Amino acid sequence: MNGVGTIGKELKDHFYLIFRLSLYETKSQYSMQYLGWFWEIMTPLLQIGVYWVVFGFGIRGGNPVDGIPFVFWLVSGLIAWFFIGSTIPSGSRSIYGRVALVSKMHFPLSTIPAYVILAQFYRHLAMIVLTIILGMAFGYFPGWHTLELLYIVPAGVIFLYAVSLLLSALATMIRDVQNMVTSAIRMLMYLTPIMWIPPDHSLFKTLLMINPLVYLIEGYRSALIGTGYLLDHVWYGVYFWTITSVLLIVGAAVHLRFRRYFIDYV
Amino acid sequence: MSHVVFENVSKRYVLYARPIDKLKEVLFGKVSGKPFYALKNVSFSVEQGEIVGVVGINGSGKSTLSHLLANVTPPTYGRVTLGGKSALIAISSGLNNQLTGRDNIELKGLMMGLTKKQIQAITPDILEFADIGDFIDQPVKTYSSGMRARLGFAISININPDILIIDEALSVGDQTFTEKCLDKMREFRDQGKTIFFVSHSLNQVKSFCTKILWLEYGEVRMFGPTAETMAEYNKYLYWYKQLTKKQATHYVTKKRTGRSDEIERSTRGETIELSS
Repeated sequence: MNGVGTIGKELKDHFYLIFRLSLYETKSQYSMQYLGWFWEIMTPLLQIGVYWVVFGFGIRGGNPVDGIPFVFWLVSGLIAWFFIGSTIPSGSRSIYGRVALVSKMHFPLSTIPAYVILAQFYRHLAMIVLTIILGMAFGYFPGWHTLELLYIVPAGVIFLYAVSLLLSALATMIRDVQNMVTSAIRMLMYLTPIMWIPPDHSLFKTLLMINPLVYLIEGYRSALIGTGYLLDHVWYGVYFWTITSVLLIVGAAVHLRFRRYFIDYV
Repeated sequence: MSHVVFENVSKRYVLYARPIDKLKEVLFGKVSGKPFYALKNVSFSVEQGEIVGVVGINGSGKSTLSHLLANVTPPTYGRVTLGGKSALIAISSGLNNQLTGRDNIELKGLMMGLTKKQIQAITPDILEFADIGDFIDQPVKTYSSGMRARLGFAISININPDILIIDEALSVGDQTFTEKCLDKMREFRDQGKTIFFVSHSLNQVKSFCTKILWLEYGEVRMFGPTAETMAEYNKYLYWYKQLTKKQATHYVTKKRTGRSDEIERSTRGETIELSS
């Protein structure tokens, strides 16, 4: 528990540092390309297009989901996944790739996963806005449910930080963790009902919900479309926060225990 | 007043036969590889304002020593006490190749723990010292190795460290830049800062340093005033050169074996950085 407090204080004290470093992170990512920001938007758009054709028309025959146009339903879950699916691998790689650059023992290493996540977050925010605009095109206007974003977006960020804190410590010491993360993310993309609707089978649905990402995806849909999922699944929310707390406590403990030695593993 | 103190400092690296041994160590904390002491029971203390040359043949532990001084890595055993902020200048000065020189100044400053204002204040001095003209707004990957070294050097000295460690960094610059650096270091010395100068250029060491720390296979062979230590070191180099191949191999093997012997385990290693 104490560990979480230490990490929290480090993040709070170095807020400006995290902010500036996240800007440089995005800057160095795109300095090589002429159309950096264009690709930020173009890559997801192409992906959405492909999933729309394959899952929307190919598999569902163009049918809406509970009356919601498929493409809007797809995009509102998929933008959450784009954020999760790019943050977890880069978050777990974050410390290993940068600890040599930092090269000072008193540098607060816990800020590294934070600024790497923040660097991805800007694009995510832009995508949320674009999704709201897409919804309006289909006649889904922002309402009270939109305020749920103020809950689900921070929930997602905290969850991703907890996961990244743990994985970045492990991946620095054991390189195989990175490979594990990459294949796990690939599988989770299909194991999470992002592009398909789980059949009405209660046991199957319950098993799916073991994966806390389902809460985030459905939470985004609840906020962007107004499905009411978050208010209908309060106990699932308790489960989600329990998992997040455990990850945060374990992640903080592992990080603090081993960070002195990270530099020796690089 | 002693500015830098090493008390029985050892740095152990473990040579793993198989990767699984490393995993075991992470999980159970049990050392299951072959220990290798990059530094072994190193003790010395340096007064403020001293310029210490660190000499020794390849693999004697000079770089490990500079990492400990720069507070980059913790000692395994023993205690390192630093009387202030330290900065390391090495050839690969940790610049981000994708970003411009100007961005790197801020980035490096932030990582060294400076505030926005402090960074803004020192930027003109860095630009002046590095003297790389319009390239400052170009990505660092387009720089020549000399420009890179100059920028790295300029950043590190302008963050105003109390202890400066220079690890072979001057060997890439040209004569004028080396002179400029040496001038700056003299200025530092006069301000009462401590400098560690790791170099293979014995002439520079001789003309510049007040004391010499001679390392041999991870242990302090000699530590004293420049003239005496240099004389001994030169004698050693001469002696080493005239050994026959067989004798040399024998000598090196003997020293190396001694190096993986377990040392007496003193206190868990720690680095203490006193605020100045």
